[in-house]
Amino acid sequence: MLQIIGLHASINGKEILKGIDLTVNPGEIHAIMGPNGSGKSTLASILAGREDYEVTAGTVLFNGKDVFEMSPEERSREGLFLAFQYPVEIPGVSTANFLKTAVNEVRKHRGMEPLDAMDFLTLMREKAKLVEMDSSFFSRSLNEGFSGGEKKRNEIFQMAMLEPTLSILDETDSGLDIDALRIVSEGVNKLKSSSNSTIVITHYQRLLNYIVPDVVHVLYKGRIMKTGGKELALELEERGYDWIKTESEETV
Amino acid sequence: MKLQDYIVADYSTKAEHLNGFAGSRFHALRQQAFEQLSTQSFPTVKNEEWKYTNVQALVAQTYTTPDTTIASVNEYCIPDMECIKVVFVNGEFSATLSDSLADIHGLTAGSLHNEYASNKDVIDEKLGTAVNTETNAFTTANTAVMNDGLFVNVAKNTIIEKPLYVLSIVDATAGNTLVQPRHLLLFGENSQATVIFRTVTLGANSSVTNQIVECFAERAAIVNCYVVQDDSENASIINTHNTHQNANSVLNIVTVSLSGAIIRNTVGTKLNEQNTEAHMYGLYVTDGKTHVDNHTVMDHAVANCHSNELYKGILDGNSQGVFNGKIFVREDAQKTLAYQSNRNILLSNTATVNTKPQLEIWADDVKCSHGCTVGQLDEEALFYLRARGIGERNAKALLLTAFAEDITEKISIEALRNFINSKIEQRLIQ
Repeated sequence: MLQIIGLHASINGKEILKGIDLTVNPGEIHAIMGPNGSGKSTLASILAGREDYEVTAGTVLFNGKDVFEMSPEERSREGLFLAFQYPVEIPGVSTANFLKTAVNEVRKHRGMEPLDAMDFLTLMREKAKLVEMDSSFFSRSLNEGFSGGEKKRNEIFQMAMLEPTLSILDETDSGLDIDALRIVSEGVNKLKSSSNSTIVITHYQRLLNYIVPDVVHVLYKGRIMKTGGKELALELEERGYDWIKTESEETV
Repeated sequence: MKLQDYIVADYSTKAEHLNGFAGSRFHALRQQAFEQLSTQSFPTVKNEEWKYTNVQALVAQTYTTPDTTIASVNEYCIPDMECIKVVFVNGEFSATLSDSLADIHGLTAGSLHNEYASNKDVIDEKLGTAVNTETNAFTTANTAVMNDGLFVNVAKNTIIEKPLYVLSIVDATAGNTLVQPRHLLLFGENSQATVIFRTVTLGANSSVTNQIVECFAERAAIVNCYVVQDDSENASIINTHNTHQNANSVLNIVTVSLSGAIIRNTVGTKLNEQNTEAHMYGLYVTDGKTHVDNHTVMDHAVANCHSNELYKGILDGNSQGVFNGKIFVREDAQKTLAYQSNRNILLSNTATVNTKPQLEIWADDVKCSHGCTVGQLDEEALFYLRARGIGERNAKALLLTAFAEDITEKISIEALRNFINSKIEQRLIQ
């Protein structure tokens, strides 16, 4: 599904990622944890195609295709989805209109007929239930005036609509109260299948009680310092990140 | 003939063929303006009000008088829009191309020239009182040779359901053409009507429309004016649109500029009596060399009035935008609410905008605000849309259309709104 090989990246000449190697297979959930500034969100942004970063070395293959050869929209149409840490408010563009455009572009790419208005509405209603979203959101401007929790639910709703094969959840748990966290995680779990994969980027272990990872990676100073099973997340929760930092300094 | 000479000749012809206008106030206004004009010159960029809009090319070029025959105006109509068509060809009313204006209950409408004889009193009372010929030679020139245009008088307590579609056809096939329409709109007490203005230039030469609209809203009248400027790249328009509002009246005016050479709109309203509302909206979506200058004047003369003004621009290519928004709050105009905003998006490095809010407030218990922004497309929003599979071009169009719809949604006629939105969409998606 996803292969990251020797990825180095920098912004304004400052190196953020210093050699990332990561393989995600179909059906797997990977968690990437790490302290602030370790490069977690940078990795997510680079995978989604944000242009602020300069990739200085390495390769990323998504279903065997070089993602750096693809525009952000092509990556999305190929099945890569980023749930934004900070979803953007877009006044004047309704959620329905936006999603209809997006879904039909993705369908076109997959050789499917565009959905007509009725089928689309039915699909929206069905998927909105996953994250307990009210249909009154459809006609509202995208994310405008949404609470933090509503924005994150809207991200998972979009994920449900676009049916990606690889979803990257960038700090989806940040700013969520316990109810919203439950709704969002349940949504993600319902969308899970043996053919799609998820990368959960988070600072805290909390989310991983709900979305149980197969593999946990610890990112620190632009490198994956440790990889383990779900128990690694618990260990991090108990011991914090300091022991990883110490270990990393010892290895350096 | 150059502009000034052309106007002199035009005036002389009119003065020699007065017919029913001999000794009239109508002609007296022309005469007075003509004399004023000899002491005025057309504005240059040294004039503060015309600092960013250079009209010297229009002043210096030569003009001819076209001889035009038009069989049908169907192609110049707004698709699916039910309306009362009022057609002018080279500034003169065309009864054959216009819809019948008789027998519409409560409406007196037609050619200002033809209606003068039977509506002399009301026309004499109002004509020329909403414009000032002392400061602007274009206004003076229009007044010196004024002859025809739309005359509308909506009777008290009358709602005119269908909008009046004022279509001005200017023929510039044989040479440069100057037309100077003079429109007079009277809205009686508690009446309501909608007037749409649009100019279509034929041919590849330069056309110049120096148009004046004088509009009077009596007590509790609701006035909707939509101005559509989507003419050819050689078409220029100097559009002066002034309204006088009496108590409880509401003015909604939307000016949409999409193409043309030099477009100068001076839109003003005087809130003369209490509890008056004025909503002034403008949108310019331009590319190429189009120059759009919107000067607005919101004149709060008395207390308890509300004005709201929003102008938005999307500029590409080498196009230029100018916004100057004046709000006057006179000493007596306590409890005034006046809001103004001008927002611009530049899509190219060569497009420019000059924007200037200008508030003069003499009253001390008022709420006024103004703001202007000039920026680029929101990159974060663009990335967000692209990350959902929407191609860059479509994503830009989606964002810009949403930006523009803040203005187009103010147009209450669906067919017209669709017509304008689809024109904007075509432009943005290209």
